[in-house]
Amino acid sequence: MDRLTSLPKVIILDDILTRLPYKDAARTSVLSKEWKDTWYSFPILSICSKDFFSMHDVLLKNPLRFSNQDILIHYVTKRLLKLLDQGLAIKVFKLNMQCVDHKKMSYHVDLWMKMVSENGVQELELCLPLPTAYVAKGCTIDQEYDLPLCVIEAKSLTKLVLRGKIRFHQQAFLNHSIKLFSVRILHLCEIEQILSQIQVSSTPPTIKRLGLQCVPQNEALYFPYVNWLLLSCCPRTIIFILHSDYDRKPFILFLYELLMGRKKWKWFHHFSDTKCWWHELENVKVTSSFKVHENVDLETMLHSFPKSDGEEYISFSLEL
Amino acid sequence: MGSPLKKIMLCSSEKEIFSVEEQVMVQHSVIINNMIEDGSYNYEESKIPLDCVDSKTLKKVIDYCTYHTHHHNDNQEDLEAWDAQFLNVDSNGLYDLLMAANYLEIRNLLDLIYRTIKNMIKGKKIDEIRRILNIKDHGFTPEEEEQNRKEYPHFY
Repeated sequence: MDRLTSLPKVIILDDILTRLPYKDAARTSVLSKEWKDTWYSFPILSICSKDFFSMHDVLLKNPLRFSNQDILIHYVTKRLLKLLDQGLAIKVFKLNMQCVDHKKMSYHVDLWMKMVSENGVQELELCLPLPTAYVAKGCTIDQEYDLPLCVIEAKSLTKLVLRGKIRFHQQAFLNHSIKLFSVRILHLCEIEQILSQIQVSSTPPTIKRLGLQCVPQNEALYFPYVNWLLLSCCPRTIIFILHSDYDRKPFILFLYELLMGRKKWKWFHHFSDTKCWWHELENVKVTSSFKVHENVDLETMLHSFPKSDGEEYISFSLEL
Repeated sequence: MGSPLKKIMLCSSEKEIFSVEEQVMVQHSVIINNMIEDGSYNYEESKIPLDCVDSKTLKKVIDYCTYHTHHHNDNQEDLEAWDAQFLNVDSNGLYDLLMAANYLEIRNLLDLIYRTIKNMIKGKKIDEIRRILNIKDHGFTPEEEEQNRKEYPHFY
């Protein structure tokens, strides 16, 4: 008799599935009817288009890719609806869509965003890179995904990670409702996402951990960017995610110098009448994911940045 | 906390009585600890009824608690080896232990069992997991099974 399968659902969900890597947990959905039923109560979704179709299909224009795309859409919608039917919250929603036509998909993604943000989503990760085939042709604004207002207004959201061509909605920060209310961890990967906010700077001061994969290339933008960073939130940690193909070093140095020699900021008239939290900074600790000799300064650290394909990071821990 | 030599009585679903050092159960089971602390256990008369735990399972649970009480200073490797040997049971035995540990709230035993089940599932193919978990009837019709394989080829 198969008694492990008749374990109470709550034990399987909370104590077994949450301990497994997502792929292994997902696999239990086809073990048997009971496990399948249980799986539909699992409040964590991590969807990657690569599990449904490959870059290869798209580049070769394999007609199968459309039906596989429909399977993906059907699967995500079904899982979300099943959770809603049972009155369960959707705790984590991760969506990684490689090589899809975002124009075609955005209708569905919008719908999913609405479902998760109205149903207690705590962690949201969206990764919507453009297919390389499109990048080669030059990217137009139409191919960016506009993050719906409901996401930034979701009160339950504590972690938001955005990668790829995603913008905050143009109207997002114009009205006065509270945005990103409980977000403690914010990761942004495209410069446009930030620049679009510079004028409005309504990010609340609750963000503790700010991850940035993008910095301005143009030196003239350094200051407005830092201005946005430091006036609109007071993170404990700022993390720069680095790729060897992108040169963020001058900007990182610029920010560090400003933080350390913060008195120099006085001559910016913007700041003369406001005393900001960072004036009280005691220390800025720099750590990195790559190996460096102890006690080297930041510049030396940046120069020893390894040339690899992986993601490395440098983080500033701000001590008040 | 009770004194080390006091004994308490546990009664299995078959009404078999087990006499155990109080300290052993108090240290491991949240439920029994609460009973002793709030004075609801009477040393003269009380037997703690465990209607959903059979004698065979209860004996194993007591073995676990006794060993971990007296060997908690052993090195980690020895303890892990003992645990692995202890959980070398079939999936039904594992199920019974899990339910008992859950009922008595023995957290370190629960953790051990969850880790074991996790390792039974992790990185394995469907047919292998079915064999390990002893799933003989998956309840899918041949058509549904075929459909699953088509929809989620990456699972198989």
